[in-house]
Amino acid sequence: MNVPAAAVTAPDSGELFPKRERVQGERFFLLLAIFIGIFSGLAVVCFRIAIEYVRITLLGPSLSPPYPRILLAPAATGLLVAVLVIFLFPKVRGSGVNQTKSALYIFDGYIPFRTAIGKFICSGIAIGSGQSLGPEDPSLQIGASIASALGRRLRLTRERLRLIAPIGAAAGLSAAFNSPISAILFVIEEVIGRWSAGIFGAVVLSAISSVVVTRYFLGSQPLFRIPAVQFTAPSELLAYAALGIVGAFASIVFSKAIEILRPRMKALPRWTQFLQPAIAGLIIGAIGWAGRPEVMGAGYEFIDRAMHNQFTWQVLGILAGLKILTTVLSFTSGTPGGMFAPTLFIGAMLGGAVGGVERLLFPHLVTGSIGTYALVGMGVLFAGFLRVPMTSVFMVLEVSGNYSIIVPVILANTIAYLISRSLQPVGIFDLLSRQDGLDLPSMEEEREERVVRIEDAMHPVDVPMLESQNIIEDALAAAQKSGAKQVLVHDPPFGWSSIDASALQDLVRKGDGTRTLAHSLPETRMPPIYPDNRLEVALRHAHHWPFLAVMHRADPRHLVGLVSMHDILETLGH
Amino acid sequence: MAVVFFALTFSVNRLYVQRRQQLSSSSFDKGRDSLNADRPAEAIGELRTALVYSHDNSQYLFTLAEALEASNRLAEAKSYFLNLLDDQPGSGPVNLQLARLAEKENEPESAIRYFNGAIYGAWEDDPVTKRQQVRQEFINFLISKDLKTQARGELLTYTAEMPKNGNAQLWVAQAFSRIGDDRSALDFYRVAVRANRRDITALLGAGRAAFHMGRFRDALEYFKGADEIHDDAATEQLIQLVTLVIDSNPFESRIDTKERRQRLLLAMDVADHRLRQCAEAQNIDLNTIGMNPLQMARARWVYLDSQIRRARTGADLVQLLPPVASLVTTVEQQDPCGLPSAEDQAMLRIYQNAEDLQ
Repeated sequence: MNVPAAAVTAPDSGELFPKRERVQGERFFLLLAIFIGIFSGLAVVCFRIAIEYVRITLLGPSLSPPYPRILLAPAATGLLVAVLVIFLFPKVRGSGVNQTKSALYIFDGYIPFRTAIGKFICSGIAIGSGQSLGPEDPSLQIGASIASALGRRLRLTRERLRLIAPIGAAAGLSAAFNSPISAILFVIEEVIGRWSAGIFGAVVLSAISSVVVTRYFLGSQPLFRIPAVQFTAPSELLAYAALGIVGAFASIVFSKAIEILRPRMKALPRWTQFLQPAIAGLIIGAIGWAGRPEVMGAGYEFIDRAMHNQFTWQVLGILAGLKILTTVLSFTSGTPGGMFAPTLFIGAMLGGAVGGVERLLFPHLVTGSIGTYALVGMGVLFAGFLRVPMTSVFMVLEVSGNYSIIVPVILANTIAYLISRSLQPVGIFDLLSRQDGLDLPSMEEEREERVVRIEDAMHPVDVPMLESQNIIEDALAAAQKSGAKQVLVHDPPFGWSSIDASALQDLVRKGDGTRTLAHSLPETRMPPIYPDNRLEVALRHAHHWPFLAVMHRADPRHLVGLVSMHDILETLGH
Repeated sequence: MAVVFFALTFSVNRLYVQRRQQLSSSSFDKGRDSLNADRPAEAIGELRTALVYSHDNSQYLFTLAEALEASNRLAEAKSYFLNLLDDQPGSGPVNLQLARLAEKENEPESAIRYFNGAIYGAWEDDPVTKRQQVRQEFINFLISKDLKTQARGELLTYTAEMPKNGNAQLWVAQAFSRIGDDRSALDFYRVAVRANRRDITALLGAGRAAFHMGRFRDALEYFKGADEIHDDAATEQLIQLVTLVIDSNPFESRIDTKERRQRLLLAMDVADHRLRQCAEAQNIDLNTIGMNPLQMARARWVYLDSQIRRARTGADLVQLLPPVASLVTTVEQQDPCGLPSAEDQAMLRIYQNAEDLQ
């Protein structure tokens, strides 16, 4: 007789702790998420203040910094940042998103606290002095570092510790962006890669608690003021579709430039790495001095102005192009800082420029304000460059607080995403991790991976199906008649089980042939398996049984097929 | 640890907030000074800096929008005002600025909407006076757009709540005059004159309104009153014109037949002179009979001239008054025939309103 070795629980459950202990652990984890949010929020508040102080000190309070500060400050601080990064904080290069993913997938949630300190100092100096980078991705990494440090101090299990970095990341991003929904979606879409009930609650709590802290200190106003946006004429969708196309090509230029330049810069002799951020800073300063200081720093004030129709379309186009150039220079030079703010900047400028040109050429088509196009443009670049389509849509809706533009946003973002994907198959974060020699899972590829389900592996029911009230002799006769080595037994209300034909024969020989099957069935029953379950669910139980009964969801007594270990392995290609 | 971190952040943030406030207020002061000194471009830079450190300060936003408007960057200014309006839909000052922008951009419908918003909106200081001033501006706008019916309605509303002083009465009288309501204009001019008998503007306005209404003797009185206060060539000319009108008026009931004939013949002479002037300007031969309006008028002139000369009784002359009035009005309104003389103006004034006078 084939008797299952272990008790079978629900198919998706992998929890080994007793229930009470598990519930207490989950509650503690949620409480910890709130504290992570609070700490991350406080850290991000300090980080933003630090950036502002650096800017005021180095460039002065005006939006157009005076000469020679504008030229010298980014270059001089570039040199300082290079020294700090090379000698003290080598892990703070880049944006921070991939480092957080690395912590999740490679280092069991471990991010040195020193990284948070280094990121804070280096990014603060770089962004404050005018390098064309943003504070969001560093905030994400600072949040993840704090979470990791807290988790280690509290001696969390390895599984919990691995999950804690994304929780901190969500908190950091939420605080920096002042948009919790976008932060949660970004972390799920790009860092974790899946909706997991086990972590979702913690991510939400940390993001919300961090944003509450940030708003307490810095106020609830958004990073830029959103003008009255509207979408009234369906024919205007053509104009937004064109914006999606232009945005896709801009995204490709942006990511291609990073793809080409970054490895070349890294391959240069080591001594040049001391100079690369300084040279990037000098070029950016020169652009600012030549009349376009808008491209320096995160540039939220200028996004605000673009939203309010305060640049001509020509200026908007120039600013979009220059921002791509300056961000590529800053980022590929190894200066720590994020790409969220530059992406928003480029998107807003490009959106405004495209809207302006369209209004000029097709005045009857464009009825929305330039601000609306700038807003949609930000989403377009998010979808096309960062390749986070869900986040891109919700980001626009969250910052605008206006659902009337959802149709143009979805249309333009989808077009940008699809074109960008087809022309540049590897997304920017995957590209960066591969350039760094890390083989992190690509969330984009995982999202589109085909899921193999039980219905793909199962075969028709080819054994006799009996009720537990049937007698053993009849069961043996049915097995012999069909030639099957097993029979399936339905034992309501406990479910399905199986019994070997040889075991039945032994029982008949012992004189138990007139007893019912119920007395001879093993203690456990087959787990409830349905055709739409992932194949891995069956895999988890298949070695206990010769085959598993695949039930109809509406009628558990009705079997739609059987699945065995052989079927599973064959389907998986082994 | 959380408490220590919170306290630290609190302290840092406090310093940061103070610094921001300091930077924003100093930049705002500089910006406002530049704007007051008519240097809007400088003001814009300073005000933008002020707003970096105080994002949502509506006063800063409003002043920046004003500076943008002063720099003729109307689209940008409008964008800021619209944002302010979103935040404070009932703001009188914001509505007024938007009305002015709409006026500059020749969008009368929007201007009317925003003017109404300003009139019925909220004003912080002295709302009654502010609303009266806005309504005055609105009336001026309506008149400039030739929306006389609406302007008259607003004027009537304004008169119900206007301050009871001579200046306000005078402004109302002038506004009525501009929309062609001479009767109401004269009423308000009279009140203004009563309030100040030496108000030349009111006296001249009253004289003109009376003149337009055909009340030539009243007009003469007002013009003479003005002339007594201020000896002015233009006023002298007006007096001469009104005197000429009075002396040439054939519709006067107290004149005898001879005098009436003389006045009619004078009008015919002035018309003949104007007719020849017009024919010369348009190179038309008046001696030829044709379908040209001038040639037809000439034919009518010859016929009426003979009729006036042949008329024997006063009743015969009175019967000729309407056709003569029609002819004189037709001729004097011909265009282009050169500048009309004082006689031309006088004749047109007399005969144009022939029905009223009769």
